[in-house]
Amino acid sequence: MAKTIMIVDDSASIRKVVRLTLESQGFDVIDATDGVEALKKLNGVKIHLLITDVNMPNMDGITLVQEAKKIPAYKFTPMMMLTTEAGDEKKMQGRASGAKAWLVKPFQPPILLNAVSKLILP
Amino acid sequence: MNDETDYLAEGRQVFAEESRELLQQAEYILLKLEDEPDNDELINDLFRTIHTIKGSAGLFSFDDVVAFTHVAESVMDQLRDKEIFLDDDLMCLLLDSHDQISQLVAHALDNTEEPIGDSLREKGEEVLKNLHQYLDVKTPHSSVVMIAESELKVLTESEVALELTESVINDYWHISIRFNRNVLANGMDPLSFFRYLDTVGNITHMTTLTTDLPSLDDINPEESYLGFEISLDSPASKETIAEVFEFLMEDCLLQILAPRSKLSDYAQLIYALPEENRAIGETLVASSALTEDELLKVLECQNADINKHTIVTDENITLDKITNILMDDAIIDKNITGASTPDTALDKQKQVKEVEQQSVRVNAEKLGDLINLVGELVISSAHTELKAKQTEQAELLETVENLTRLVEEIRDATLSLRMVQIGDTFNRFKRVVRDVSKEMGKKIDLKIVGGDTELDKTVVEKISDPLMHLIRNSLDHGIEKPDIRTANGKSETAIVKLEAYHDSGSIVIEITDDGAGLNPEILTAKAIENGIISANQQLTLPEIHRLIFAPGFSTAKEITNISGRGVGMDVVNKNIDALRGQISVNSELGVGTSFTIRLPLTLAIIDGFQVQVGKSSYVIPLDLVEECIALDEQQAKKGEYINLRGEVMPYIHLSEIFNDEDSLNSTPDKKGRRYNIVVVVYAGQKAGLVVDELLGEHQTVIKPLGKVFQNLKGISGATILGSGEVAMIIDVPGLIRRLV
Amino acid sequence: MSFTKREESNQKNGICVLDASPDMTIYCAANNLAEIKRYYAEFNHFELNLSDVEEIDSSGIQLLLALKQSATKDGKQVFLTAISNPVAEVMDVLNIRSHFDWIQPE
Repeated sequence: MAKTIMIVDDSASIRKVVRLTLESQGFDVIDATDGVEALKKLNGVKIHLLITDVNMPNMDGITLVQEAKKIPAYKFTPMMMLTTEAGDEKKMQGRASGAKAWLVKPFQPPILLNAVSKLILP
Repeated sequence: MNDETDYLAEGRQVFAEESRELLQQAEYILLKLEDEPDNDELINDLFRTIHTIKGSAGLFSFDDVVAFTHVAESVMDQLRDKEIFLDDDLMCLLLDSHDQISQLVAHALDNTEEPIGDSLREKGEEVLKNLHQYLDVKTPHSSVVMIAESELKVLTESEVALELTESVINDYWHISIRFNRNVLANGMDPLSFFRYLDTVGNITHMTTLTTDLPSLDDINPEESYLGFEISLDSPASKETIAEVFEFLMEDCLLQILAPRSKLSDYAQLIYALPEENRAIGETLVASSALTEDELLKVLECQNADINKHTIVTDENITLDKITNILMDDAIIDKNITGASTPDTALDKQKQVKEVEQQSVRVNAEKLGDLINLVGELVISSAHTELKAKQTEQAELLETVENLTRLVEEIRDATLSLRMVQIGDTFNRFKRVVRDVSKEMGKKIDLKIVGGDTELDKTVVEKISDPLMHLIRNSLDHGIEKPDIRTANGKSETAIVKLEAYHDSGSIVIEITDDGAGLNPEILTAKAIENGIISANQQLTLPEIHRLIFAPGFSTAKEITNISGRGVGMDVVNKNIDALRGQISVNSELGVGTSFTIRLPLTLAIIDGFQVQVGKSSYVIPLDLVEECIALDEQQAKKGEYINLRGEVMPYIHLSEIFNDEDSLNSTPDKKGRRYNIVVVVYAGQKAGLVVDELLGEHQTVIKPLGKVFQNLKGISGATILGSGEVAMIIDVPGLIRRLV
Repeated sequence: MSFTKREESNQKNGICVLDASPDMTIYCAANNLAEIKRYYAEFNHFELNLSDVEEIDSSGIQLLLALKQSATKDGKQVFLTAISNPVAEVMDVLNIRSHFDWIQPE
């Protein structure tokens, strides 16, 4: 049974790269452009990992994580923040809101896969 | 971010700072212990600082530091257990140990590759030998008999310690991990991490510990209760392995031991883990991390020293914290993240301290750049204000006024970033006083007042050496030996007081002793002998006292290794001058001597008072301005003094000092001309400066004068006015010195 | 979404045969525990069939270990009769097969 990962980022290219990278490893991928769209898509569908950017229009990643954690179906879902090098404070905020994992942008696909494989079994 | 060398370099930098602070703290504690040798809390703190240094040094494989610190730590541990007591000899030894650790740390940080120098090693061996004597004391004298009786190998404490420096046979990494209760609920599954771990090496053995697992009735199925002991065959570095668990760093207790680690490391691991020692030891044997023999040795040592449990738990936190630093690119105190700190092993004091240390480290250079920029901002803001005034547009003026106020606030806030308490500098002298009194057989108490007084860090750094000279001088020349003191009806113990306080824009540091005082006859004779003054020169007492600041002046009959060869005092004077400060001396024969140093609070930006003389503008530091008064010609003609509400005050025409022809020439034509006098005060001395016009307050960014102008009398610097013109900053202390 | 008791289990032979549901992750942990506790007081002999388990995580493993540990303490017996591949994999990673008693299905 393939596991499902959601990627939320307002950059289309990032969504693309993440999707391709994850699909190449046999994951199913759902994507969303911002927090609002992501919450819409989190309608009970099983997600094994949520990867989200921090800075996004409409709803940022930290709010998304906080909101998603309130939904019972995603209470235990591991969540990963995409932060920039200078975004330590965001990383802290992300951790505090429930995203215990993070990935520093820009990242290479193998790094993404390493981080993902720490969080979910293939 | 994944570059291993970066991690290490950054970690080292943190270690450099951390160890420096810890060593400073250790010294401070030691000196405090001298007064309160039975203060258990201090002994605990001492142990912890040294222990932390050992733990961190281990992470960077600073083996020399670890090896030495370990023995010092063992002695401190015995002290804690009241096996031995703190007497003078031990105090000296511990201070020596402290110094040795400082040097070893410095060496490790400078050149990790090179072995330590001979002198450092020899010194270390000597200290170690003495430390071992304390460890040996614990062995009962009857140990020889015991061997005879029972054939058992009885090891002395030091031997146990030595034994434990042996490496284990295990060729694999050993990883111990205990998860916090909340990891599962956070979406972190240990299983995924183990699977990932299996990609950086090969898990050769795994033990799942269920010791903590509650019964079905008590279990919360969403919490985590399992612990794991893992053997890993891997060529990876410790950092790479730790990195596997980086997302869990705040949610687990992680310990990683390298292949062929020292037995002592395993000993610490066993103490540190929450499970019962023997049980966990057997688990280690079962997973082939340790052999039966090795476990036996570890447990033997542990029996000798049961109390270690709490301490090593402490080390976990440190290790954990440092690994965290390695992982994080932020060097921000863990408290900020609100991480749950295991609180059982930490006493309250430590927590309080950690709260105090909530800070961000900033490169001093960056701060300097910021202050320079703010300086430019202040100038630019003054310029804007000036231009705005010329437009006479009310709205613009209002906005600019607001802007100016904000700029002032930014200026103050920025300067305050570099303000530090002088206490740390003062505390360093406790050690000096202690060492000198021991060496010279004098009894001296150092009193520190106003350690929380703040001043610019750059000033603090530069004042430290001059203070050291002054204190050494006072200890060496000033304080009499106890027998002489009692003979003179003084208390046997001399008092040296270091005091700091703020006084109108300056910080004042006073060093006072109740020693012999300066002997004017000896001073004069010496000065004549050294050709500083001529034999028939008549000097006032203060002038005689100031002779000690003359180059090449020394009165010590025998040169000691403390206050040196008479190069001290004139250098002190120069250093303080360079800081735009002033030093004065006050002494009474037989009663004592007091040095007073006045320094500006900052070296960068001040509030100034702008005045005009002829066509030139001058700035007087506002803090030194007391009031402005008008003076009519009649009064002015009376001479060099005026009567200021019953007080005689000298005054001086700035136009005369700076030879301003415009101003001088204008004087005779104008009848009944009124003068403005700016009354300035410095070090309690008032003086009047006669100027042509008062222009008001001005934000003054001090620009140093070039070398050519450095010796100009009456000028301490220059600044750029809003109009772009250059104005000179009046050297008030210098002028007052000329007047009175 | 939880453990189901098979019909043939009854008071008489005192054997409770439980079939684990496909999901033994933390999402179902509370349910799974509740179900186990429901039968735990009633029976002294348990046979667990884990062959339908599709997903299991540390919380699932922990639950099995807790059941086994409580049973040992209370003098009850717990046997595993069959496990699915995901369960086998996890048990091998954690090296815990020996924590359990097994009845190999013939």
